[in-house]
Amino acid sequence: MDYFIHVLVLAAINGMLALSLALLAGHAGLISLAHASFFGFGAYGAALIALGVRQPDLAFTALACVVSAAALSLFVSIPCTRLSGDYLVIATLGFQTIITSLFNNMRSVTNGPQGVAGIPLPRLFGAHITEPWQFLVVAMMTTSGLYLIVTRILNTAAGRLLHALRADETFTRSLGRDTFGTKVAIFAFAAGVAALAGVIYAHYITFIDPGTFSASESIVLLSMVIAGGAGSVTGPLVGALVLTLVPEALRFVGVPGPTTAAIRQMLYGLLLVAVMLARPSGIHSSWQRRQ
Amino acid sequence: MTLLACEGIAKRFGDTQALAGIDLGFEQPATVGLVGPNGAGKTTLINILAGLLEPDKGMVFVDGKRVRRVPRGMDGGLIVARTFQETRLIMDAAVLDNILLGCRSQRGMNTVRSILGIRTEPRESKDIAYCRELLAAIVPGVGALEYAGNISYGQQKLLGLACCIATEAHILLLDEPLAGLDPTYRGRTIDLIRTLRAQGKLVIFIEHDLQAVRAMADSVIVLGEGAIIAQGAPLVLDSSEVLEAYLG
Repeated sequence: MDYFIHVLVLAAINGMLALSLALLAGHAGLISLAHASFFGFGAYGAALIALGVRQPDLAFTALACVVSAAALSLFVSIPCTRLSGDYLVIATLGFQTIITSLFNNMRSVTNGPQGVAGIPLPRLFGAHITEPWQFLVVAMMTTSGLYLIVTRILNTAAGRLLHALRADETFTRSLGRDTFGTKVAIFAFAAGVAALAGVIYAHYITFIDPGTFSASESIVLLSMVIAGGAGSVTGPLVGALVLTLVPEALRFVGVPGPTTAAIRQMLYGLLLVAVMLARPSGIHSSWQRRQ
Repeated sequence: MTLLACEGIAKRFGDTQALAGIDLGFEQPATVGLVGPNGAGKTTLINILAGLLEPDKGMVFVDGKRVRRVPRGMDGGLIVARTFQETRLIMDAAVLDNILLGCRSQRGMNTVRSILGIRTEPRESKDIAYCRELLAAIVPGVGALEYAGNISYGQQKLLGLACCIATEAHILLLDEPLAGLDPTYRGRTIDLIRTLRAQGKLVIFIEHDLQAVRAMADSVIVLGEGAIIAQGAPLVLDSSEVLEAYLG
């Protein structure tokens, strides 16, 4: 049972990451490969606060990390407002590489490749969070809240603006819309949510290392968005759930010997290719069409 | 009083000198035809005046104040809006959403207010009603909820104009508004441009059909190879310099 809850907590955390990246990449058309860096920033921030303050309050840690990550996102968003498409992808990958390098080399702060262990369990408004099911409640409630916020954004004038930004930025600017401010704001929002996911992750796993927040994690997050359906709100959540469950399910595939991990990775890759061939608009979009 | 002016505007793309020191001044209300052969620099000039392109040299002034990027008024309202030679719309969005995108009261902090729910529903309904009226007046026969990509080319051109008008900008820069339109839509567009002038707007339009320019313009500016060849009343279109520029 604990294992099942554990997988659901990870799926909920991935859901938050995928949903925030979908707002950025799917709805605003700003494809970023730097999302894992903000996830890591939140996780390391939470670890440092937790180790500095015994029994930290999760709400305080989350607020501090979300605001800091939103501020950090300005280093990506402001230079990147002039970029789009492939150029934006490369620029964000560059930022991700810098942050991963900092996680690995700022040993006095991050403990380098060894990572940070023994992150204390948090309190939330005075209540101790110690059990996996309690983390599941926190992660599910946060993801549900985020789902409502994203739905709200997309159903208002802001959603119309994001759609226009993705479809034709020059046309949008010609009508007097502030495309620069919109890009900066949406990057900050997505970075803040990624950091929040990092805070929950760090407290839940109690150990973090740079490998969890590398460029390959950013690619996995983008895969969740695209495989689930980048143009919807539910799609990225479906993508996060499926791409969290599949690697776990592959653990039970009976492959003997030292090649097990490599075969699992290949199966995972093949599944992604199959999804894209069979459902180019994402798993969720195909369900919608059938209904 | 001069509403829009530019001084010494120059722009180069690689080896091509698109504009070489353009000085112009425009008063409100007026309809100004911008003509010249292909490659004369007309669209580049419009892009610079609209704040969508930065010149290499020179300055743009609105109401006597130097502006950069998309110029705005003291109240935050848009001063200059433009349409494009090719139809540029959000093709996978509803016609109504395209017009709402330009709607003045949907801009700025109102976008944030709409997310937070601070912006009251009657205001949103008012915007929608305004945009529906605009649509019915400018592109009659098109459903508000139809996809912009599904309507005809002529309707898309008029829809682009409706988006531009929804901004309530004082200056409208129209890039070949008549290109590719049948006689019915041409007539409708010409009437619309005359109406905008009557409402006190400054309308600057690019057009190759000199007959249509004569029908719409108060004054004409002729560009050739990035420089002003002639300007003045539409009669200048009959001058030998202009005919030579067009016919060689």
